[in-house]
Amino acid sequence: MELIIGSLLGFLSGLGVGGGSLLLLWLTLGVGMDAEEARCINLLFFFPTAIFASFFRLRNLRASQFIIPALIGCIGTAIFSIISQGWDPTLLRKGFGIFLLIIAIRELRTKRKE
Amino acid sequence: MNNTIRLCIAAFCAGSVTGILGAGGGMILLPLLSILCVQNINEFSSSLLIMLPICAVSFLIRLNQTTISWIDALPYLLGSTIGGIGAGIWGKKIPALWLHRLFGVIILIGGMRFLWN
Repeated sequence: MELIIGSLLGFLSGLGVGGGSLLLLWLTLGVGMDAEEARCINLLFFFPTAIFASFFRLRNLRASQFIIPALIGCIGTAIFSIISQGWDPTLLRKGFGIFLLIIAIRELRTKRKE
Repeated sequence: MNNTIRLCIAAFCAGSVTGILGAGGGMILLPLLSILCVQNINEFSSSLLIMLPICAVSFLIRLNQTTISWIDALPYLLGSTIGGIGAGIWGKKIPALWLHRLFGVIILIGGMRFLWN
């Protein structure tokens, strides 16, 4: 069951449809996993999907242009990963809920792309 | 504004969200690339390249504070590999519009449960 769900969500994630957020929902609401452990698995989940999905799409892409932005992104994640560990888990949960609602509205309003 | 600076701003925002929530950075990176008018890049592939190290850093920091069951994680990691390969091979053949709508419905329900549960 977990393999099927992981494959489906990996497929969606590889298409850019946000399988990671769905996995987090599944692990916390479906399986009842601890939120922090679920976040770790979710982050780990992204690697195989991204590596293999991008392997087929990285033709003619200059990877060097992303080194500095990726470093800046890593700085942001490091800062907020550390800061947020002292935040109220309920607040984080509500914040994630609001974030999901915003993303949901955006996704539902997606128009057919050219 | 320089294109690289715009890309850095988008990456920092995505990294911050990932750092706070442990998810969702990629979902704001893609629209930010459009909003900030970052040019001459493939948005999807770019977001993958930027999000990979971001997720790695976030994971390593969180791993220091919590423990995970690798036995529980393994099926999802294997599934992620299978799904990622599948998306890479067949992804372009699938019309994404209805996938986005289905995804939207699912996370709408999930978001409401997070807020009111």
